[in-house]
Amino acid sequence: MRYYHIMIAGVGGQGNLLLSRIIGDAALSKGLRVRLGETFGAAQRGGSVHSHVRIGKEVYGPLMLEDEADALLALEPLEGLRRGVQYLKEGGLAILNTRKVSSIDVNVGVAEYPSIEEIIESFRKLKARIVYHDFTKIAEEIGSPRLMNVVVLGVFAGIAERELPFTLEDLKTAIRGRVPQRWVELNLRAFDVGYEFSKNYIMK
Amino acid sequence: MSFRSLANLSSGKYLLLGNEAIARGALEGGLGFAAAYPGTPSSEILEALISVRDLLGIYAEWSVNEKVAFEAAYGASLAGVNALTAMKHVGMNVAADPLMSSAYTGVEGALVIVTADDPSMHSSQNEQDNRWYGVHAYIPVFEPFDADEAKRMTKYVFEFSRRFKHPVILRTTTRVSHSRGVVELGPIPEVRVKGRFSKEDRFVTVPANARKNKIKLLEKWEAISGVVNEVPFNRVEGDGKALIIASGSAYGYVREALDYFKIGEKVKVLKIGTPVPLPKELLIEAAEDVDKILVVEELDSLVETSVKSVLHDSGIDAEVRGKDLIGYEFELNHSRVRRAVAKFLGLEYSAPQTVNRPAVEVPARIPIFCPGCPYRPLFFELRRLVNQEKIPYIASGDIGCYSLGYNPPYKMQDVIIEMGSSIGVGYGLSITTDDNVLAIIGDSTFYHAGLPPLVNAVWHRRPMVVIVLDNEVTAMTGHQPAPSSKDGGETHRIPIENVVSGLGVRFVEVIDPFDIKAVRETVKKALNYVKEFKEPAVIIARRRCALEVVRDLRRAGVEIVPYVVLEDKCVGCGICYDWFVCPAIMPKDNKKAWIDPELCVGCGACAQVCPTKAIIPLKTYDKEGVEKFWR
Repeated sequence: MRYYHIMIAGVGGQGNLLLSRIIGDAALSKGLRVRLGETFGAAQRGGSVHSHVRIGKEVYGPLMLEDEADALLALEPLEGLRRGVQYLKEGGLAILNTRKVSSIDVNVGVAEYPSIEEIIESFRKLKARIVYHDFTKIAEEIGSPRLMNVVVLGVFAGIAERELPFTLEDLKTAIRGRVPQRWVELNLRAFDVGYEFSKNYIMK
Repeated sequence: MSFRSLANLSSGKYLLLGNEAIARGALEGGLGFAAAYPGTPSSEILEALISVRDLLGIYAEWSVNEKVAFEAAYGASLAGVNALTAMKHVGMNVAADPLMSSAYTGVEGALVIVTADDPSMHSSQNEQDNRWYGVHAYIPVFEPFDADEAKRMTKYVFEFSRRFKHPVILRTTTRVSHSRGVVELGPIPEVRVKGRFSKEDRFVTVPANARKNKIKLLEKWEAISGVVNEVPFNRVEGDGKALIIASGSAYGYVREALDYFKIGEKVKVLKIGTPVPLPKELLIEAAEDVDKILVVEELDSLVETSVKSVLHDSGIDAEVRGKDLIGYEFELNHSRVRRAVAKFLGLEYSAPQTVNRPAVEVPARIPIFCPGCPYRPLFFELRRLVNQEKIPYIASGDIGCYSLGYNPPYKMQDVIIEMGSSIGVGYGLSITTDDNVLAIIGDSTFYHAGLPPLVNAVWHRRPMVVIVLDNEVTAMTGHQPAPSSKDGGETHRIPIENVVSGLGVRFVEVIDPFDIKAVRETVKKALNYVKEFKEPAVIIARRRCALEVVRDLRRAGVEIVPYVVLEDKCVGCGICYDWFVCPAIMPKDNKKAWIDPELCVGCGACAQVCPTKAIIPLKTYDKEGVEKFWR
């Protein structure tokens, strides 16, 4: 494997950067070269945030190219669509949280939030392998909607298990290293629930 | 793995942010003193250093602005202590005065000045290329391409600065500062925070000394210009008849382009770590036997221009390409560099077209005030006031979260150019127009650069209304403390009203921006006051940043009770979602409002804008107890 590229898309406050660091740590623990390109918008909460995770022998620059992502972790459907059409390669893997976070343009009626069906249809056009579900709901059932990012990571790890350059255990170790102590147990549970979900998921 | 948790380690590889790598390099280089004013993309450098301040015994502080931070670091260095100051590119304009003269006097301990430039203006008003400051000031500029090099380079420039008793500029760009890469840690030497100031004439820049300083400066510059040829961050790789010169961040893009075209060894690459001064001998050596040269650098053609000049002087006749293939504006990316390299070498390249078009429109997500932001009700009421009473106004704006007040529906920022400009520019406009000038500025920005223009306005008795939005913190850059922040362990709060009264402003009112009636009445009163008394009026709208409040409530284990819309009372007028515009409030299909309990922070500010009183808390709660957190 020369490169593995992961695009993480969401809105501010969803734990996007934490996910990229967890994946980065897991890759680092395998001695791989890693670059994480983090983007920061102006607003602190609710703005569009995406991270570039680049793993590979000849990785020097922080950002991936268009159509280069092997996987897209979409923490929010609209943001997933926005970054997915730009970065996901044909046949790439998309994990899509279907819980919408509305935008102001949509609220004030100057824009329309596409339906989940339309968004999924767009991914189908990319010939993406797509896993979609309301992962926020799963996180809420575990104990907090804020665990959604790690649920998505667990789903991703389950689906992509064979193509990833690191193991489940590497990811769990990275979670332990990155999450505050009192949140570790819940996060590991969220990861496991996501992983189990992936094993029972039939890709349509 | 926090930066702090690495403080006791002296080896191992970790994933560090470029800015953290710089902080680590500074510690390994013997840093004793650090001062800065926050600014994206530079802020994490001081945040990292402050996080280990007590652990390692270094001195680190947030200063009131970049000039003061620079002067503090310069002073520390005069005592022989190794010092660092960091700023965003435009911050260097504020610090330019001491910067220019620091090269004349030289320093004692290291003085490392980090400038984090922002190509593509992700969070800035311009994309100035601060390498020119090095040319302008006779200060060497070092430019790392990734986090690992940033660490090694920072450590190196501390030694370099000490050796030449000369300040050094370390220039990053957003993608270097805000990307993570694998960094290998080294040992941190014993920290020294005290030194001795030896009195020398060179530090007193009266003209007679300044003239001597200039001669010495030129001698030093010549020595530095020679030594940069041996700096390990400048080197030649590969061989061939074509030479690519890559400065700073450009190196990463160039290496990947060569890998992409599989021509890594067939092209000569001159990697530049010191664009100012350029390693002349190394360049001549690399350029002597090539036919053509491509210079890749982010933003201006600084290296390209120097290369052309060196080649001209040395009679080397190679063709030099650069900005004609790369372009001047915005940050570099892989496609851009690959396209340029392909054209330069005559290779085939078609940039990946995003062939994948979505089946639907993807609406933009414009930035907006956070739920609970104290600025929202104030902007809402200002807009309503000027609309309803047809008040001719100019909203002279400033740099901070409140710049978002430019966006609809508020549209209450008509001019923004730099820190503190709201009062200064508003002053000029108030003389030359008949409109009511409302200067809108935040607390941290007010202390940063708002005081001199306010002094001027008081001095010249200028009728204008100044509204200071005081959320008691530098919020936009990540909640660094400001002089308006509550007393900390070693800091003392300076209430803005005391300063303003001390300047002689006679109309000073402190209001709660959540109280929209008070906002309306006070602004109207101030507008009448400035007309009647022909002098400025100052309103201070004080309430804590909601992000900090929510964090504190969560830490304290206080339940956040969201507000809800009473379906039968809501008439679907849309005031709350069309004009108040909180991310938590959305219209339903029947036009009635709905509040997302996940986003609502329970601030309750929306309840007072609802004409039918349809917005109430989900359940009763200890309002007073929660309110304490907001103050």
